[in-house]
Amino acid sequence: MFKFRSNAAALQSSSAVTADRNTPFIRLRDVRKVRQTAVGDLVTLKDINLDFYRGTFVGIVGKSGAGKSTLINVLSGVTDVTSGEVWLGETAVHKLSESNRALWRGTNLGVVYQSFQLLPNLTLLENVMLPMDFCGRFKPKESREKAMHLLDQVEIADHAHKIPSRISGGQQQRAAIARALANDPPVLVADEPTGNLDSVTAETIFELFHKLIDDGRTIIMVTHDRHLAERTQHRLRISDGAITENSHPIGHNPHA
Amino acid sequence: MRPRYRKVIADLWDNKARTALVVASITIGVFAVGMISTAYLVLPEAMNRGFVAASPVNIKVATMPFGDDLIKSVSRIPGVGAAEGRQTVEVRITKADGSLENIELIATKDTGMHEININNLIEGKQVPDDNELLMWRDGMQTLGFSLGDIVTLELEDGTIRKMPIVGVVDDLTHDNATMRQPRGYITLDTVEWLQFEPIYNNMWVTVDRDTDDGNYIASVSAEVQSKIENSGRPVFFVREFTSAVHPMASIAQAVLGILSILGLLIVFLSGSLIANTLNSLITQHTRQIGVMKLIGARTQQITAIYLIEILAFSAMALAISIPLGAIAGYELSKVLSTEINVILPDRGAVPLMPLVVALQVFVGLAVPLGVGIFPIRRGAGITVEDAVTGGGKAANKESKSWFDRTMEKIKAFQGPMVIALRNTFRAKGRLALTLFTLALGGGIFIAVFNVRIALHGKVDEITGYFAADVNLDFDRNYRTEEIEQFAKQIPGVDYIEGWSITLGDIHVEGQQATKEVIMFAPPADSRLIEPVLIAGRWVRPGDQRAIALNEAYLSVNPDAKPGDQIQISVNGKEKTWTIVGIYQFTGLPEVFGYTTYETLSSEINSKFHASSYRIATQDHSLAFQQDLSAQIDAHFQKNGFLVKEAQAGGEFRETMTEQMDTIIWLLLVMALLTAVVGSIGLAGTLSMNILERTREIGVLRAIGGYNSIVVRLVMIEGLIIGLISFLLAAAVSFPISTVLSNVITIAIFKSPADFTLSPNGFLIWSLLVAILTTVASLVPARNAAQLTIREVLSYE
Repeated sequence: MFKFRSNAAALQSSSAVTADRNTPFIRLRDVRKVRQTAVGDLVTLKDINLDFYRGTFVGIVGKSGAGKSTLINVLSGVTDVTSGEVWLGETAVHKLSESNRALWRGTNLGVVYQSFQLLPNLTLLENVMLPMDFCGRFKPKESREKAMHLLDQVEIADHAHKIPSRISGGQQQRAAIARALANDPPVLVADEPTGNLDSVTAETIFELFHKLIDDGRTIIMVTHDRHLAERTQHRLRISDGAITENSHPIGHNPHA
Repeated sequence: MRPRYRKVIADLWDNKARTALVVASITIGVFAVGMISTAYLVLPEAMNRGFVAASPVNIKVATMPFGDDLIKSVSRIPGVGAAEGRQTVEVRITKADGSLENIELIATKDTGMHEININNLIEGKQVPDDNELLMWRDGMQTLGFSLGDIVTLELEDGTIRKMPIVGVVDDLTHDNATMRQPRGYITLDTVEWLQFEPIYNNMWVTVDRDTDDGNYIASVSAEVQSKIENSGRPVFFVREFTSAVHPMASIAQAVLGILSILGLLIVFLSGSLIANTLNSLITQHTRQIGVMKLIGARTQQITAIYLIEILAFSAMALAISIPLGAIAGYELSKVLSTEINVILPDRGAVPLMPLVVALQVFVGLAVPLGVGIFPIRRGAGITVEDAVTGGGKAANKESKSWFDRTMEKIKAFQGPMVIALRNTFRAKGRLALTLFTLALGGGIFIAVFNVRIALHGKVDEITGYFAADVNLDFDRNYRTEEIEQFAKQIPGVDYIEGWSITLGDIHVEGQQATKEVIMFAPPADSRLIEPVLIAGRWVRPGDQRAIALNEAYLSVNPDAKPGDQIQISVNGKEKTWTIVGIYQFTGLPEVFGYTTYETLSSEINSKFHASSYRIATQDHSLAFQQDLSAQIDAHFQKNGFLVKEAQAGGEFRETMTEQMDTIIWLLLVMALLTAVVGSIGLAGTLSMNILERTREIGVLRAIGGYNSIVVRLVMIEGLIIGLISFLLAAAVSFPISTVLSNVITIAIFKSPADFTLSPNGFLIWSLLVAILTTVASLVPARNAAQLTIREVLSYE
């Protein structure tokens, strides 16, 4: 009962197969998302076609309800697409089962939310170790060392043994970023990561993201903040579920 | 430690109230299983082992005096295991409180060393010397004595003898133990000192095999009777007993059986409570589950985490309930054992029994895992979208329920009342489980009080045969007119009847052996007997050799019916009698028959005479009866009558009521356990409802809802649940009362109970529910009201 099925496609880290910066790393093709609501069907994503490249900082802006979060939920496999395809490297995300998607997400994608989403009764260290524990990519001792290293990288190693409620919002978001990086994912998806933070703290988080980009990671960030979005390499504007502005449409590599 | 296991520990530790709730829910069920299964293993085993080890008599024959020659001769009969002579005498003993009571004294040549009906020494000497007394423990307690006391015996001619109690024994073969009839053991020489002939008048025999085979015992008994009659002695009466199992085993089994059913119900209730709490736990953890899935946890891993949590709950519950169940099981056995004259080994000698522990471990794991797997699978299967972002399919399903729509239509429900009503019915699954637990728990609780009334009703029925206020027995027959005259000289005596009593033998068609019948003959127009007839009618004035027999006769002759003619030997003469009715008696195996005084006194040639009298007094209280009994005793003795005993009629009722109350007490313990389960369920549900609505309460307060509104909301919700549960409990108490009453009364009295209702059960349960709902609502309500708006709105 507890013998977990492994899915080779899910376990395979996409970083290994798409190290090259000239090939689209994430591809969305004709993605459509329709939600059924009490008042009828609501199209939240309309035939989205996008390419994202490795080592790119992508900023997605749009009004509330425009479909920003739905877009990154589709990207991260949190939301099923109604039609269309989502590829991350060679993995057809839209075809993975819910359980395999979890494993795939754990190894290929770090997710950061506005509300941090740390487990309240685990210490920061344990929170960061948890993805490694679930995905089984590191031995327990290694995962502990790695978690400490990540906390050190985000400059909250001193708080490693505190539970989330004992530290500030900015520190919690740093912990959430450290957790998102636990399994060395090539992609970080962030939904309003600075939405709950003051401007100074938001700036430090943003600087942290830049460091990660320099390390070769791809960050896709949803934000309300127009100024922050302007500082990303690849900017998208979404309105009523459709992409209305794309600084790098398909075929335009930001690295080129 | 791996973080997922740290999470398990953190979950258990951080919400101690919830952990305590789940552990308590499991503990109660496992405790009940342990308690009852321990009693199930300890009590019957102790009953039968102790009883068989006492080498109980299989055949008792009363005859003319005999000596060792006849004993030797009987012991040589094929099929006889052992034969011993006994002299049984009855004298009056002055109780510690100064009143008089009859005591049966049993003597044999080697008292204390005999091989049949062996006593177990508790303290003092095993073998009494001459003029010394060994006493049966329970009887001694009834009389109020202890080891070393000097007792005063009053002989037939008024002579006083004083004897020391030198030993206390347990007599597991005492055939009248449940009525606590005092019994002592003396030497044959002491018998002579007490002015009786130092000879045997009872032959006690055991068979060599098949001690549970009534036919085999009857065949050996026929040989023994024949041998005694061939020696020139008449056989006055014969009683035969099987001895492989304790005579009270079936009653003990029945009581334990009922407790087991209640135990199972408690496990069932505890299961529903666990299901409720785990449901809530998973609901509270939905977001955490979503987060874990978001960072890579698969459904199976989440399932495993929560199953481990359940195992941890179970382990804690088992650690508490295994030792507690063993102790309670032993104490339960002890309570029952004292009522049915059984000796239990010391608690130290009853270690944890592997079978019981295995059963407890099974229940402690299987029930929580069985009921927990459903909410866990549901929780673990939730999508990240539903759990974290709240934008999944679940969010799209939200719509007004039929209940909400109905509430909106009812104008009378406005403001907080509507909110409270909606809140009550919001978590319908949880509400259903809570109501089920409370209704069943309350139903059992109320039923126990109804069963109590039903059992007391049974006692009333039986004591209807013993309706006299004072039972006065003489050592010989006296003219009824004379006794009447003397009795009426005593203030307080209202009415007196002379009863004729004798032994007869019914010749059952197609059977060689006869069945002994104890025949009572009150005056035909007796006012001191209230029979409960199953078939036919009671005896009437003018009846000729008509007899009403108790239900025990149906086990001898299942086809017996009113109008049947049977052969009964009375006073050595066999005559034809007509059965006019079958009446319900105590469920005892002995056959009792009632005929008219006129008939029986004529059969035994004692017209206008009787040795047994029934007296009605002006005041029917036990204290008055006891006081008058003493006066009657003294009055007749003073006037030269040989009084055997004057006993208050209420004492019989009191003893029976006490025994019934023991059963009621045990049922009440089970009822209280169910009440505890129900209470935990109610408190848990209300707390969980509040916990899940912390944000909502914050919003309510943010828009101006002051503390009293919040408290009122929660209180109304609690009271609605309490009220519905009470109504359901009251409804289910009817069938539960009927089943419980019938099972118990059939086991004990061999007849079903009349359905009775006691307002006490309803009243006490309604009060309990009111208190419980108030407390269970007030605490979370106050907690909710004390939270700051900021706290609740930032709550996740």
